[in-house]
Amino acid sequence: MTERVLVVCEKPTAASRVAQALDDDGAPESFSERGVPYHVARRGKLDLIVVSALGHLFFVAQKGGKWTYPIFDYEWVPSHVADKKMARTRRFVEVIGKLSLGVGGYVSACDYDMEGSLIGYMILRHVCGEESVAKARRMRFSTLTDRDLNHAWDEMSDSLDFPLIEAGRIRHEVDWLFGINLTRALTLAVKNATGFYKVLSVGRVQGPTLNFIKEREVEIQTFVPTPFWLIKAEVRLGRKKFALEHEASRIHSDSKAEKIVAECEGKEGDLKELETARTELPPLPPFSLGDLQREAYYKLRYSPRTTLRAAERLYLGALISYPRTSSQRLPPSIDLRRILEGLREQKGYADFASRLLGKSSLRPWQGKKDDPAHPAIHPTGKKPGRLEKVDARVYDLICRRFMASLERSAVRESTRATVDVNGHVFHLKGSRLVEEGWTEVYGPYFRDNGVVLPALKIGRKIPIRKVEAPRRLTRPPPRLNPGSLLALMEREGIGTKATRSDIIDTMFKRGYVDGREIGVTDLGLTVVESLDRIVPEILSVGMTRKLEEDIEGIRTGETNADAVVEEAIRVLGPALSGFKLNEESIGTAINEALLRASRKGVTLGACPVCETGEIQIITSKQTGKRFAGCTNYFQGSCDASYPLPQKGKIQATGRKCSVCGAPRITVLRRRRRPWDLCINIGCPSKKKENPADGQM
Amino acid sequence: MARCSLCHREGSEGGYCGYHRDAHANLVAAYEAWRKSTELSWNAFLEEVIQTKEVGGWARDVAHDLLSNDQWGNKSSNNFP
Repeated sequence: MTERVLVVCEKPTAASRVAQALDDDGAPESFSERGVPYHVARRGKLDLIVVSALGHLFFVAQKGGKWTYPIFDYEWVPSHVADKKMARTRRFVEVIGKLSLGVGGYVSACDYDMEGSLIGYMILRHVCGEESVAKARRMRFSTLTDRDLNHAWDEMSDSLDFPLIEAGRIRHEVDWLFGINLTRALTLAVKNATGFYKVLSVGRVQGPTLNFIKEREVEIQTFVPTPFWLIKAEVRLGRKKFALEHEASRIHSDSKAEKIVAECEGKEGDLKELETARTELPPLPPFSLGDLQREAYYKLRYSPRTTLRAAERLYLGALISYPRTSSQRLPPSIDLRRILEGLREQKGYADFASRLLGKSSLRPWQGKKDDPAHPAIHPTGKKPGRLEKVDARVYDLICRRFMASLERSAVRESTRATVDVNGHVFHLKGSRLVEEGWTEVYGPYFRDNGVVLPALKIGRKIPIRKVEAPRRLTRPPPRLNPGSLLALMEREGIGTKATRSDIIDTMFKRGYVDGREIGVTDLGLTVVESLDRIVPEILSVGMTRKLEEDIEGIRTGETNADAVVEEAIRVLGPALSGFKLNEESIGTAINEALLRASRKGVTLGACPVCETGEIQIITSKQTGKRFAGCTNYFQGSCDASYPLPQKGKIQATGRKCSVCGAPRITVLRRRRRPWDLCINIGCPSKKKENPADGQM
Repeated sequence: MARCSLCHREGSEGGYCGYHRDAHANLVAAYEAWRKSTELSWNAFLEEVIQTKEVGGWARDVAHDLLSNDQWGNKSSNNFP
């Protein structure tokens, strides 16, 4: 008689792949019950019932009581009970429960990380019963290829990975405690003080992250530059012009700069020294998730979240290894030759893969970071079918980085010529790649900014064509962008590789930050100020980093799980009492910021007609259409109005039209370039603007 | 509690909130460097600051405020605090 085994996967696509890989004939039977797909695979004498979750089917939720704070009593409940938006998950819970009846064995085949282990455990415990947890075994894999899944089946552990599950459980509980209490404290502060309801969230990681952005914004907004002068000389060598740099990179007085210019103008330079050096540029290691998200942001302009979603789709398609990894290393257990043989069959990689396969040994350039659960992100060698544009570009980046890590170093030759011009020392700098090495395969994502100098000889006389001393100003620190913010969070050890991009996204959704170069909004600033006044610990990197270390300690067995929750409650208790005491002042301040943000959202600029009112976006009650009108209309003193584009998001630019003086706006539309225009339809500048888009 | 004369934020001391006080301190510190390298007067420096795009918004607010409160409004005057 055949034994039935329930195999639990994290997502339907993964379940389909697992069933196909484990079935002896590679053709499992697929069924659907109430819209919940499952598969029956035959493996030897076993019937494997492969089911899937939809991510987490169980959440932490408040145990009874009202929508208030502090809340320290909680329980794990099905996600459809905790969140009405998750109603679909109810059918998954019920169908898995039905399929688990009469089953002899259980296997968790969820992604091998903290979240995946917790998802599998919660389903087994709460749906299949406590006894299933003791019987369950764990498959561990880094790719969804048939080979890896069969290997994971053969080598699966006899029990679930309980330390990892416990660490995941505590992370969820602690994050819930912080999130629910602080969110309610902020939201109720505004509601109780002003009667206005708006959800204002803040969490254990979101607080310090928002604080980073705020601190940077304060530096930028209070910045006052100081002047300095550069001495720039121009020479011609052969047919090309080259720039000479003065030995002092900055001159701090205009009179001194002018003196140098006067002494060098029209003079001849004397080439005194020539230095050449060769430096090796080692290959870049294969990607960790953070590295991939940063590189995709800088090279492809994809947000960290877009990159993560694309990487997840590529993983579910068995095209790349598991992307939620911190590792920059490829262990010897990975069959690099087999992957390269697969890449050799793919358009664009054949030459590079063939060259690498011709090497007697393949040694990847390894990074410093490691992850005990998964190797660095790498292709599986499986040939992709037709991919979406985003997925195709992320796949290309991963494949090229993987092959680049197996290549030899590049070599750069740098030259520095020292030129004496009437007693002033200038340098002429150049560099070029003399050996391309890994940069050839990584070509589209590697930019060589080197200046190639012609052959030079000591003693050569070089006429100075032009000397000038442009004034420059010191610059404020740059705003953080999604890539640099991700790097900062990683460096500071806050959040996890899987959650950082979502935390950044949430801050945008809440209206705390805005812009591609991220700036804090008035609302974000007020939220940080309120937290800083009452619960500065929430903004502290130290506290959240300590919690991350404690959670890691639970995973390694060094920290007691319950003590971590108790510590979270110990921090939160007095902080929330402080919030209650100051509810009115916090609520009023945040409400003022919300009102300012709301006014800012509809105000486009000063009225060019009456010059005292403001042009605001107004929605007609009769037609539901939007237009722009002067705020003085209601006083009867100005009737200036302008039609507006009805589609897209309208943003004020803060600029006036140079032709008619009306405000200029930017219209943001999906998948189209931002449209910058003057709102005055009769403005003479309209003739030059995009008439095709000009439907108002 | 007193409010900042520039942004109406609470917690003002001497007319400015913490951010505008920091911006004022930065203006004073930067003026030393400007004076040494260009010999600008304080008011001419403030005029320059207002027109410079690298200057932060709060620093520009303070520069505007200092200039508009200067009773002489004279570019060459040197009412350096």
